[in-house]
Amino acid sequence: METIKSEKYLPVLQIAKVNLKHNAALSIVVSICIIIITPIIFGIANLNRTESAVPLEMFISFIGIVLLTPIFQPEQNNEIGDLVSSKYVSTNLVYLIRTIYAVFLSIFFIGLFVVYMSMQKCDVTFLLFIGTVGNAVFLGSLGMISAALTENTVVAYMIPLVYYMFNYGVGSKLGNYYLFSMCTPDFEPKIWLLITGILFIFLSLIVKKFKKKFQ
Amino acid sequence: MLFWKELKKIIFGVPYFLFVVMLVFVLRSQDVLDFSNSKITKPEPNGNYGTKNEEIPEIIMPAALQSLYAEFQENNYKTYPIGFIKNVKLNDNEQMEIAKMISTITGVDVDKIYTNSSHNNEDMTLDIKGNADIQPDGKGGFIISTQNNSEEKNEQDQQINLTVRDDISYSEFKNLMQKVDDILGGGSAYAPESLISYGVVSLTYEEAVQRYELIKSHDKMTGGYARLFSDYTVAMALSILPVFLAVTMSIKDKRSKISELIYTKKISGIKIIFVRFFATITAVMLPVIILSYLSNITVWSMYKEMKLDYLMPLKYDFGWIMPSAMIVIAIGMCLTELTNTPIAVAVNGLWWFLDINMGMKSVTASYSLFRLVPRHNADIHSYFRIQDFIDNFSNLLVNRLLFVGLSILLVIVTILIYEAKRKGKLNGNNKIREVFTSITNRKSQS
Repeated sequence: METIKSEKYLPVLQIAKVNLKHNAALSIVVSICIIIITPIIFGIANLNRTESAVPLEMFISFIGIVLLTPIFQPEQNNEIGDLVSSKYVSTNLVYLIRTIYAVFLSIFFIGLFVVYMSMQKCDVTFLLFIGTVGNAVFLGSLGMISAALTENTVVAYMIPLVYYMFNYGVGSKLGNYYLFSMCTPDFEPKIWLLITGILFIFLSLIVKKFKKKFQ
Repeated sequence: MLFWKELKKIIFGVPYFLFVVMLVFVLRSQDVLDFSNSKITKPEPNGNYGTKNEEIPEIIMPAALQSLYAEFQENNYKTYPIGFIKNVKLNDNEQMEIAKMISTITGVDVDKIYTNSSHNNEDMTLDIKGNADIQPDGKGGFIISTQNNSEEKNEQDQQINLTVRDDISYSEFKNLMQKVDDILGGGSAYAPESLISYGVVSLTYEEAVQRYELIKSHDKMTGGYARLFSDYTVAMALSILPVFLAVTMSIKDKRSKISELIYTKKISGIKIIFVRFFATITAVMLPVIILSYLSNITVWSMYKEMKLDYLMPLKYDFGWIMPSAMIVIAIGMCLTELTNTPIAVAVNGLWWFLDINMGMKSVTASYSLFRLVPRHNADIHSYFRIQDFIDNFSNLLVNRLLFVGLSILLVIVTILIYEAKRKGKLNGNNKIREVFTSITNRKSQS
């Protein structure tokens, strides 16, 4: 009875725990570094709403790339991929667990920074918080879908970073996919970014599932 | 030949395809691939020739004072220490210091200036002089009516008229502004090197003609366009994208598990690393050279009757663009060889981010020694700011030579790391490697 229970319920928590420890540790450290570096690069005291959007959109959003892009990284090593496939727990479930905790960690870190900004007398609102989550999820999902399609870690980081660069050069011409719209201020693109980000995440999980099936 | 093998490996990879696509897309988005609608013409009299910044104390001092006083009154100073806005709020003592500076500049009594600032908004004490009548307003508040004598009222209503003292010299003014900048924590527009931003003057007809002549004689009509192309190419592509190629190439051996096999070959580390370095530069510069010519060709037909320099794009490709690509590739190779991870992407990305946001605070700052991305963002409307370019050419030259030197140094370090790994010196006991390989190996533990 005990064995059945552990087989049914424990893997999810166990997988999350093991992955957090071994796969997400570096990403979490880098995310914390981003949070620590941001107040050094930007001034985050007494900012009005539009000024508050600058550090959130331009730097804190990177947390999404850091946490979501390496979701498929461990299994890109074929030997590890084969080993994981041989386990009774589906690889897709492992990916899903990693994705869920990566999204929650992104929300947690962004929330933490928003609270800190609020303590610094910045006019940060819930919309700014949601907008930043939208940016982070979108950028991270670009990394995930690139990783799923190319199986190449460098390319996976390249795509979201280059998209971020485009936003510097192309600016608001990107319309609803402009990452720095809250500085304008325009919150509508954030809905598009968040929805597209969620779609890309699911799409990348589906791509991985089908790739596995046809291997 | 090893060089061609390495070049083929890079060119036929997915990252290189993405690099070329992104390069074209970025340059198209910045409108620097087609200058056919940007013909520069000889200035006509009585026209508008744009503005320039000049260090004219008579213009700078009143403008800077006006700006400082406005920010002082609000107690909200805007500074840009790293490029991003930082709102500085001063405490009472610091506000008093600023008031003293303004008083020294204007000769107006310091107390009079200080009482006009919002230094003590949080703990306000209402001091009503004369006969006061306090009545409830029916909404939970009070209406206070006073009967001040006319003299006091006039004093309250009096606007402080601030003008720069006649006997204050510009160097004295700059010293005071330096102190203001220090109190604000640096990065303000009051820093002596930034004060020139207040010296905005219109270009005269004679100056416009002079610049046009310089474009003809110095730039041979093609230089300004090549400069604008180079500015965007380095800023938006070549100061970051090549790192992905360098990391991919350096990490490939490990991914295909042939590092140890190559270590046993007779070929020297110097040859392997240098060949890879030059192969990556060649791969990166090939599309840049092609695009620079495609861009510059669009202006050749506009100046048929003039003497053009057809080698101008090539000069800018090698002199301006390539040193940035070299340092980025060298960082990518060195850090990947050292750590076996793509950490160079993060390091180069952060450098690019900070450098690009340093902006173009002043002309001199755009060419400063350690700028990864020297900036000269000027088109025909400002006559390519050719005079600024000529004035700062030596700074640009030093900057570019420094980056070439640094990249060669980093390649030598990469060779040393490679040879050390070959001898097994960095394969287990080295602490740096252990830290980074534990990060890479974390995947094998899942």
